[in-house]
Order: sequence, then structure tokens, then C-alpha cells
Amino acid sequence: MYFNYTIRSLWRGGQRTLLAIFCVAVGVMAIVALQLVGLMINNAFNNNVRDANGGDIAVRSQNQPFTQDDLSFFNQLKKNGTIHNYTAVINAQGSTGTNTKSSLRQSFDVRVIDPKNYPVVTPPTFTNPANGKLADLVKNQQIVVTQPFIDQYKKKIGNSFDMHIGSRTQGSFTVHVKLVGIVAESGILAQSGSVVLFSINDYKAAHPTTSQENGATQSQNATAPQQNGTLPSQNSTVPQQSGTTSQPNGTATGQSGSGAQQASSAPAKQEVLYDSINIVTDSAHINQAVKKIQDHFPIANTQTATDALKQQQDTIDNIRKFLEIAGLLALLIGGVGIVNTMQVLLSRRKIEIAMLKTTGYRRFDLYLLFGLEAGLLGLVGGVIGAGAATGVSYLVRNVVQSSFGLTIPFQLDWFTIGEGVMIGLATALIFGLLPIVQAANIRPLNVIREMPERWGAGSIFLTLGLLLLLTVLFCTLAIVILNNDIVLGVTSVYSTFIFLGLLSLFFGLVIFLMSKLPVPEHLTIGSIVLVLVMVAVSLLIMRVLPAFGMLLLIFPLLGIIVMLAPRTWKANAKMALRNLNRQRARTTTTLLALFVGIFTIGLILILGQNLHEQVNSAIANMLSYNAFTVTSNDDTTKLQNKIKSVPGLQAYQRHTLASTAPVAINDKPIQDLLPTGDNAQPSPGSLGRGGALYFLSGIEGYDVGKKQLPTSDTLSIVKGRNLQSTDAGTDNVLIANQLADMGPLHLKVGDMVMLSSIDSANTRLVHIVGIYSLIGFGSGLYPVLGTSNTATALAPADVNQAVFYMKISPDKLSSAVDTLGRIVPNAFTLNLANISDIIDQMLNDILLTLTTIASLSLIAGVIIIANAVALAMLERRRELGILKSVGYTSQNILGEVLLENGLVGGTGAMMAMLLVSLVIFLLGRFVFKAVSLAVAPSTAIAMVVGAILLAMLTAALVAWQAVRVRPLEVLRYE
Amino acid sequence: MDEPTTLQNSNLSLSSSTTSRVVIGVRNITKILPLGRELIDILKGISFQITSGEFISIIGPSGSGKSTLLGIIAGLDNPTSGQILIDGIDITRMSEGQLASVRNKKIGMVFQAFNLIPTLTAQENVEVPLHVGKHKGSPSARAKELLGLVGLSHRLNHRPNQLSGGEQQRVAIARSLATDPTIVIADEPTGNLDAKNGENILNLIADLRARTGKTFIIATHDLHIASHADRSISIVDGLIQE
Repeated sequence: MYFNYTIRSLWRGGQRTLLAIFCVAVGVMAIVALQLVGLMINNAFNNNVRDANGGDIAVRSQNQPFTQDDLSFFNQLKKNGTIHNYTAVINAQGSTGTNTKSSLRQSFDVRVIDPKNYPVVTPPTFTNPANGKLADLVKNQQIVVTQPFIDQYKKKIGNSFDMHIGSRTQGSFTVHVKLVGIVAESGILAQSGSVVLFSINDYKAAHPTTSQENGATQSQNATAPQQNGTLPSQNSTVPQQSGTTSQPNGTATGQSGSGAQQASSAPAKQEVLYDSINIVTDSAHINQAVKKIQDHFPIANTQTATDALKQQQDTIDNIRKFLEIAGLLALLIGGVGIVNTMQVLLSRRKIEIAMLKTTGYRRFDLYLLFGLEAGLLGLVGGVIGAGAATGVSYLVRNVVQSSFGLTIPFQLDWFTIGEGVMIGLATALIFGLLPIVQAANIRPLNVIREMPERWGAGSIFLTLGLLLLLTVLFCTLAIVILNNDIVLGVTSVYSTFIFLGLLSLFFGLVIFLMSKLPVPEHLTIGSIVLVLVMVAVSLLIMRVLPAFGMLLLIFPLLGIIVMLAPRTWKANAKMALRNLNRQRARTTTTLLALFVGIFTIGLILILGQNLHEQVNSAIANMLSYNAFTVTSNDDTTKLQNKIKSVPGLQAYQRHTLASTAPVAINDKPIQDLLPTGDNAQPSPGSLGRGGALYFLSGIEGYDVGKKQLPTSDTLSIVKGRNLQSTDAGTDNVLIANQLADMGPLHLKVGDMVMLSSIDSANTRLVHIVGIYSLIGFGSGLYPVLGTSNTATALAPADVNQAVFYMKISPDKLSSAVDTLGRIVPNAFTLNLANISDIIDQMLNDILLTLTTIASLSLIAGVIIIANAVALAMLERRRELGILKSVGYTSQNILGEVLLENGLVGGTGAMMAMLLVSLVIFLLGRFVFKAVSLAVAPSTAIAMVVGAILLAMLTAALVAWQAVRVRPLEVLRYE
Repeated sequence: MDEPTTLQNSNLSLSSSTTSRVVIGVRNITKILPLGRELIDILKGISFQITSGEFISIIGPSGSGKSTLLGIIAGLDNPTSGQILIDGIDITRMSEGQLASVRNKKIGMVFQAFNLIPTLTAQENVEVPLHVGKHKGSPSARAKELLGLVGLSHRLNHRPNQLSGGEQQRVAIARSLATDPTIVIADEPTGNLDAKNGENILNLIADLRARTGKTFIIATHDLHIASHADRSISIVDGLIQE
């Protein structure tokens, strides 16, 4: 009987039943979809961390790359059984070749590998040819690329093109290659983006400075530390003489190698330098191998698969928790919808409940009856929501993929989907509890005699107790969803409840005051004075906070409109204002959801907009250049001689560059100062091992003797002094403030740092005379700023690099970049306008993802509006009939409904944007101290107008049919 | 219990009709409504005429179709067949907008359940019809005038839930007169009131009719109430009983 009664009651509920199911379904859909995406991200990153890490141990050293001699150390480890195998890799930058106009070049990563011994873990999965092997394909200037490369650059198997390869340490050259294979972006190539795999033999053959090595194949399979064609050993230990500068050992240029099209004019004696070593070993030897490697290469970074997993897991866990909390918010909002709907469902059946009680039903029987009803609603909503979540998760996963350039395989987890159904059931029961207990507690006689229910102390305590129980139960559900994280569950649920509770109180007051606003029949002196005072206040505020003032100005303007409006509009305005206070709790909930959604979206959009503007203005105004070219050796002279021919060139500056590695600080070896193990990771107050090394990884030399000094428009000296012309010939340097303010080094003015060239051939003891802080986005290429004397001394043997910063007329920038490409085809040229575009694109992508997630609460707001309007239409059917009986048309009534909801949407949005204006102002003033942030009035108004239209459109869709009620029907029968 | 209402305001601007003309023509009206899976003939072909200034009662037992008929005359519902002529114009083929205009300008309605808007005060409830269509003068002044006429000058700013049943019905009567309509239709206006208050309302209606000369139609199942009218039309089982 219970089941039949429940089914029939739900069936009879019609539209209201559908609304309740809809509320559950949306909440479940959000949480399941976000959980599924979280799982997909987790699997994408953690499925095979060992493969993604390149092996059990990955050793990287950008500051001091590995020489052929260094590889003998790994051969030794292999020989004595500490490691099983290893492979050396060069990570370089690639672009389509020099025949392409510079402005049209496409850039990607190039991984130079030994195809016979790469990878040392699971081989990559070929998509074309199906059973391809790197050893068979990557040779003779043939390349294999990842799928994103194909997607991004629209190349096909069999395509040939010129590929320009450049690295920071080894100059650059161009080689003609043929695309012969495509691999999936998984395993060792997981999340790698557009990558080209190129053979080390081809690299050596084509590289102008290594071609004398007979194009020999480096064999890591060999058990003996023998490498063919290695250059004379260069000291891998740092020379102790400070301030010495080694002289170039010759300038012969090699242009041999079958694939070499063009080569830089680098001299001949540089050897191939590897920046990464991937190692496999057994678990018993991992720690031992790491220790030996760290002892031998003190400034290299070693990362085991366990480290990688730990590092990634923290990030992924945070992402998953963020997604789950966003889903919980949607579930909470859906739950509020259930409370609303069930309250209406049950309050309309008061007489029925009273009759059941008079026939002997106990409260417990009613709890069972209505609990079954709520359970069925939850079950159906859960099934629908979980089903819809599979589709939504596909969409969210696509957004995340395209925004962050990740590859996330789509997969469904049936446990999560099933759990979603249970979450729907639990949510409906938890949120149905309050209306069910309230309904079961009604006094039959009061209902039958139409006497009002009295709110005694008992009822108030019962409601408060039920609300408390509801929060406890929802908190328990949240803890389960958050993988039993009790602290996070309790914190997030109760802080949300408290925050929302306080906001609700405030909004309740706002709604009450709004409902009391007068709608004057005629212009009165009082109303005109009120409007004028509000206009004056708004204009005053507008002088300080334009958007804030402009939003406030909307209020008096609305007042004027209402005063001058036709009678029907005034009547609609009056009824709309009164109706706001009618179901204050419901209106407050709607306002709250809209407020949260619009505040989040508004803040993200406006912060993004400000960042866009800051980046663009920094590039346009703060930097004294809009393009730069990095040249090596003869290219530097070549460009220097022809630089006047670059179209639109207004000014330029040339600095010497040198990549460096720190050796010692104040005579203490760097390895004793750098943290290891878990402390090596960055943390608040510490740059970590990698960060500290980065800030000492290169020096940019100024020709201070010619008064070429770091400029105060891109940096400020926070301690010590700037470089000056008297520093010419000295090794005085400026360092970034991060090295001073943060650990692990805490450098200070007066400290002495021993820097080494990346080939370890030269060292220099530099003296810190000042500490700089960057202003905005302005900066040079390398973090240490010194004299050209120091930079030249620290250049690796025979590789002299320079950078030309150029200020070019913006209308000629593109042709100038092409000219630079013709003058120095192997040099790296960057048009900062492209950077601006790239940053814009990145910001747009990130904003899109954040806005998509933030939109959840806005969607919830829209659903609550739809729910509220539908319920209001049901509750006010008699009123609609009355209005129609005195001459109102459906359009008149719809106008009132639209105005009412437009007011809710507008008020929520206006308050959200007022808060956004305030937060942005405070952020600009106190957080981004150097940057002035502001809300564009047009954006603020667009958001408010958008919210009004959204609320009105939602209301119109729901109320369209409802206002066409037949008056006699409702006046007589309801 | 409410005090008996007396008409104290003689300056009220309600037009009164002096010549007898047909204001309502009901021609062979039928109405069929679905009840579950069956179709029920509520009205089976009703015809009559009402001239201006008449006070007509439509009597009949519950379910006889009198309220349905009043709703159709008031333009709140459409007949299945037949014509309703208000001032000689057939309203059965009018659009929703035209019907709304007829209801606003020519017809005032009083319901058994009062049907006031709970969020508005007594004065605002009376003003409601004046905010649609074109009406001269100030709605608030007009509402105050009418509420004075029904003896509620002291209740202008009270909401419906702050008024007694009799008072609510008097507000409804004031509202029905707001746009100075030709016809006032009252469907069981005393049905929700006790005997004394019911009598007061009937007296008020009779007084108003006498002073304004408007056409009043009351639906009731009570013969005593019907006796206040000039003429009665009896409906039984969807047909006029002679």
C-alpha cells in the first residue's frame, strides 16, 4: 500500500515531482561528472609514472649538461650492477626551418635520442605505422612525432621539411627531415605535447660542431666506458682558479653531414652535451644509485619514479578535491531545491495528511510514507544525474584537455557512477528530512478547521534541531565523497554553511527593504530629493571607484524610470516588489546562488581582463624592446653589421649571454648548500633546489663601460646598488631578489659566488653588489646581471652568445622579423607580439576552464530561479485568476513575473559586482602592489545586464505557459 | 462581526444608466467539460437577456451550472457553443487581449472566496483594475473613495489577512466598482460569510444598485438572497427552468 500511495502521490505531483527529480539530478550530475574527470586526470598522470619519468631514475642537469666523459660514469654504474641500463637525451627547441619566413615559423620540442636504446622503459605506442619501432624509423634524417604535433601542424606521414634545432648550450642548425611515424602521447611521452624524436647520430652528423665525431653512434649498451668519436676529455671537475678565462681552442667550422642544410658559424670543437639521463634499475638499488649520482653530479636533479608520483599525486589530489568541492556545492544547491520542492509538495497535501492522522496514522508511518517518496525522488534523480554525468564528464574533460594542453583518456568508472545514484538517494533523504518532519507534525484539527499552525518554542527547537541534523548528515556525505577526509569535509561544509548563512541573513534584509520600496503614483518632492541624493552619492563614489559608482547609479535611475512609467508598469513594479518578500527564504536562496555564480565568474573574468591588459601594456610600454634575437659566434657579428637594414628599427641594445652553473658560495661548495630529498621541492619561503639553481643559471652581460646599464623601468634595486660604468672589467653582478628573500641560499650584498661555464672549462668569482626586483613583466633573458666581461669569460669554449633587444616600429614588426630570419637564419628570434598572443591565448584557456567550473553555481542559480518561478506560478494560480478577472492579460502578468525575477537577477549581480569591484580594488592596492587593477564599468554593467536577462529569460521560459491559466478554473476549483 | 454598511458618500462618480437597453444577451450557450474520461454537459443551451439597471439573481442547486454560466458571461471562460453579447458585441470570439479589456471596462466581479491579492493592502487591491487600460483620475483617490463608500475608510492600509471576511468581501465589491463597469457579477457573494455579514453585503449591493443603476447579477442557491433581486433565472441541470 505504501509503495502504491507513494507512486501515485509522485505521479499526482506532476510538475513539482519533476522539479524535485531535476534538482537531485543536477547535483548528482555535477558531482559524478567532476569525480569522473578527476579520476581521468589521475589515471592520465599516474597510470604509469615510471614510464612518464623515463625510468626508475631521471637525472636532469640544465646548468651543467652531461658530456661524453660523464656518460662513462653511468657505464661504470651499469658495469657494477648499480643500474641496469640508461639512455642519454638532449631536449632542444625545434621549429620549421629557415626557408620558412621567421614570422610564420612553428615551434615544438625536439627530443634527440639514441633510437636503439630509447626508451629504457616501455616503448611508445605507434599509431602509424601500427607496429613501428623507433630503431627502425628514427634514422637517416627520419623523424617520429607525437599525435599533438600532427594535430597542431597538420603534417602527414611522408612529409619532408626543414627543421631548425636550437639549444641554449649548443647553438643551432637546420636539418632536412622526413616524417615517418606517429606515436601516441602516452607512456614516456605522456603529456609531452608536440614532440619530434630525432636520432642522436643524425644530430651529431648535422651539428656543425660535432660533425668531426664521424657521426658515431653512442652506445649505452656497451659495457665498457667507450664512446666512439668522443672529443678530448674536458675537465668535468671545476677548476679552482678563480677569475680565469680560457681561450677559444680554434674556430674550424664543420658543415659536413648529409642532412645539414645550413649551419651556424660555431667553431668545431664543441662536443655533444646531454641534459637528461633516464635510468632503469631494480628497487633494491634505486637509493644507492641516486646517492652515487648525486655525489658525482652535485648540481644535477635526480627524480625517482616514487618522487614523481608523490609530486604529481599532491597536485592531482588537490585538483580532484577542488572538483569534488565544486560538485558538493552543486549538490548542496540541488538539496536546497529539494527542500523547497518537497515543502510545497507536502504543504499542498496538508488536508490529506490531516485525514491520514485522523484515521490513526502515527508520525512514524508518515515518516515512512514521505521518506519513501523522497527516496524514490532521489533514486530516479540519481539515476538520471549519473547517466547525464557520463556525457557531461566527456565535455568537461574536453574543456580541460584543450585549456591545459593535456591528453586525458576518456574512461568511465562504474563504481563512481553507481556511487552517484546512492548520493542522489542520500541527498534526497537528507534534504527531505526537514519538510517531512514538519509535514508529519501538523495538527489535524488546525488543518481541517483552517487554523494557522502556531510556531511554539517546541516547533522552533525542532526546526533548529532538524537543520543541525541536516548539516551533520550532509557533512558525513561530504566526507564520504571527499575520500574520508574528515577535516576537509567538516571544514568545507561548515565554513560554506556559515558563510552562506551570513550572506542569507544579509540578503534577507536586502529583500525585506526592497519589498518596502515605495512606488509613487506621481512625482513627489520627497521622491525627487531621494533620487537626487542617491545620484549625488553615486557620482561622488564614481570618482574613486568608477564601476562601483556606476552600479550604484542604477538605483536612482530605476527610481526615475518607475516614477515616469505608465500605470500598468507601476502596478507590476509594486506587485513584483511585494512578491519578493513573499517567499523570502526562496528569494534569498536564488539571490545567493546568483550572487556566488556571478561573483566567481566576475572576479575570474575581471582579474583575467586586468592581467591581459597588464601583459599587453607591459610589452607595449614597460619594455624598451618588442623583439629580440639570440645569436651565436659569427651570427653575432653578422647581425651587428646588418642590423641597420632591419625595417622599422628604432633602437637596439646588445648584451652578451652565458649559461652558468654555481660552484660555490663564499667558498662553500654549492652541493653543501642545496637541499636534497623532500626538502628539494619548492615550498613557501624556499625556492627549492631547482629554483635556486635557476636563478644562478645564466648571466647577461652589459657593456657598462659604454654606460649600458640595467634600466630602472624594468627593475628596481632593492638592496645594494645598480651596476655602473666604473664596474667595467670587474665581476660585479646583480642578483634577483628571490635569491635573497627566499631559501635555501639567502644571498646578500657582498656575497661571492663562484660561477662556472656549462662546459666547466671556465669559472669566475662574481661579487654581488646589488639585488634587483623586476617591475611588472620586464626582464632580460638570464637572471644574473653582470658586465660583458664576466659573461664573455663564462661562455663555454667556442660558443659566444649574444642577445639583441630591438625596438621596432609595430607596423613593421613582422617584416623586421622576416629580415632578421634572412640575416641570421639559425638565430632564435622572438616577436613579443607573438608572446602577447600566446599569453592571451593561455589566459583565455585558463579563464575558460575556471569560468566553466564557476558557471556551475550560476547554472544552479538558473535552476533555482526556474524552480522558484515554477513553484510561484503553482502557488499563485488563484492570484493570476484574480488579476485576469479584473482585466489583466497574460502579457501583463508575465511582465510582472519577469520584472520580479529581473529584480532578483539584477540585485544578485549588482551586489556580486560591487563586491568584485571592492575585491579587485583591494587586490590591486595590497596584493599586486605594483599593478593597478580596476573593473571596467562596461564589464560590470554587462555582467549585471546579463544576469538580469538570464533571470528574465529563465522566468519567461517557465512562466510562459503558466500565466495562460484559465481564470475561472482556478477561481472556482482551487 | 462587521457593522452594517450605509452609503454615506453621495458624491461618488459612478455613472448611472437611465434608459433600458439590453446589456447582456445570452444565446443558446452550451458548455461541455471533461470529468475524468467522460464529458459532462454543464450547460445545455441557455438563452436570456438582461437589460441595463436590472438586478438579476441566478439560482440553482450546487452543480447546476450557474457559476459556469457567470464565468462565461464575465468572459472568464469560453462556451462550447452559443454567443454572449455584452452591449451588443459578441465576446465569445474575442482574443485574450480584447476579452481582458471587456472584463476591465465593462464587468466587475465579486467572488464567494473574496479573492483579494494577499500581498496588497485594501486600497491597493481596489486600485489593481485601474492600473490596466486607460482610466481617468488618480487610482489612489478612486480607491479611497470606493472604500469609503463600502465603509472601510479606516482600513485602507490593511492587508487581506488583517481584515474580517465581511470586510474582505466589501473590499472585493469596491474593487468590482473601480473601473465604473456597466455590469457587476457576484458569484455566491455571501457564501463564505455568516448570516449577519451576508445580510450586510446584500444590503450594500442593493444600495449600490439603487444609487448607481448598474446591472447586478448574483448567483446563489439561497432563495432568500435571490428575493433581493428584481428577477430570478433558475437553472437546474444545465437548463433554465421556467
